[in-house]
Amino acid sequence: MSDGSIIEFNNVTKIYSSEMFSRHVGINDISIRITEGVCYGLVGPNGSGKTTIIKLILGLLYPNKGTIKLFGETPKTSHKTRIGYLPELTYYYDFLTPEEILYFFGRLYGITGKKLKTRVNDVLNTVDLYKYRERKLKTFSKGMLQRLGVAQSIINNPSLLIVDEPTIGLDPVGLKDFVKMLESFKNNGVTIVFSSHQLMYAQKLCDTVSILNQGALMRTINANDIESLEDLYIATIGGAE
Amino acid sequence: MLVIAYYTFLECIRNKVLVALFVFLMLSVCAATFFKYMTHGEEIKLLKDFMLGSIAIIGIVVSIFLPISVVSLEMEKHTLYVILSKPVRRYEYIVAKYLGVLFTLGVTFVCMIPVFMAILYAKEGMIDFTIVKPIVLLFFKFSIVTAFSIFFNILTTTHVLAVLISIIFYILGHLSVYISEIITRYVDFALSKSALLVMAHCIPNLAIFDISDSIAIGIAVPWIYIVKSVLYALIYSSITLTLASIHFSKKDL
Repeated sequence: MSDGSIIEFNNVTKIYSSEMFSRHVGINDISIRITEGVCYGLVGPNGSGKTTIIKLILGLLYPNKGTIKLFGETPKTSHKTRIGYLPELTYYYDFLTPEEILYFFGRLYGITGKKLKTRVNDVLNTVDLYKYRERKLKTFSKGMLQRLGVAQSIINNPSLLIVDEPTIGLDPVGLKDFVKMLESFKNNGVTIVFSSHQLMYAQKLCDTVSILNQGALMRTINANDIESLEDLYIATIGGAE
Repeated sequence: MLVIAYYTFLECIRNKVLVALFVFLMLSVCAATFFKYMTHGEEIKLLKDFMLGSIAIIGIVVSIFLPISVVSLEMEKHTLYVILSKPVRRYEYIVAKYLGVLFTLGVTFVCMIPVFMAILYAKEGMIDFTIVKPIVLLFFKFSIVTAFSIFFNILTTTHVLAVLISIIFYILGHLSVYISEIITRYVDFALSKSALLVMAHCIPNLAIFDISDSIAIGIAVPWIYIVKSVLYALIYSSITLTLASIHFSKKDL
């Protein structure tokens, strides 16, 4: 990781061939380099390959071609101690309370005892769920569950935070608070990979944005160099279709 | 790994179908004690059969149906992604899920034993330990079924198919001796016979774990038989879980 790269994709291709006679290209010959402390946005229509890239980073998928490096090395399970992942709305065991679920995820990172207790209380305060810590998740709204998702993703104090379509189910106020939260992580030096349809927030939050379409990397731009990501997105995607 | 196993267990024991079935079977066994129209010996035999039958029903539900909610549904609801984004190896996840279901099975059985013994004590006027051996064997029989069921849940893409294959496997497991015998008797071509026999031996012989008939008619089953059967179950379960882990490690999620 001497060159500061946290994630490196070199000519990575992922083809899905789960069904008997169909092959679907997830991403095609993509090369990406994400350096430390950067907020990297992935935007594109549904099926453009955003989630495929995230799953490849997390080791949930294996590439057909190309190489992936995490923290300058071939991906290993131990790298995950430094990664936080926030998926779109997910089922967290609804018979548990936020406190219990965070204890569960904390233990998966090997955090125990007093350290875990302190960390759980800290993240519950960060996501403003402390007063609901003993309430069952089945009584939670989508927004509260998403905040719990954020809490579980930062329980290990990650240096790399991956958020996949995190804005689904959030109301405008919740969305604003959520982006504020991500901004504070960014300001604390956390590298963020942010996949979203919310172009306005992607431009506001990200340093670099990649526009994907049908598994291809159409364009990578510095978010500060453009006036409107939305216009560029429409021009890029509209031009491709 | 034990953390995941523990939370799997918590999830399993909150399964309403399992709890309802457990209560229903316990009440049924208690109700069965009121049947008085047989001789005393027949009554005890029937009661023991009924108790072991109840345990078998719970065993089938836990080992075949619970892996759907703890494995397949976790994949479907993406909880699996969150867990595997943590430093958890895929084989650890599989083994943990297996242990969680097995623990549920064990706790359910252990809860049933004292009730059964109390009923038998009320009937016979003495503590009857003979029911323990068949229950131990049933636990290990269902440990094999659980391992296969988890394997099929990973292998297949639909829950229905996983359940269907698990049930077929369960039935074939009770007929494996007859299948081998039929192949030996009726298949003439040596190469086909060997291939079919190998395939037949891949199906574990689940019938060896059913000793309820011997117990009911008072034939003592030696402990060495229990130990051998337990070893058999451990070997089959380990091989199945290893295969499941290998497949799961290579699977795109």
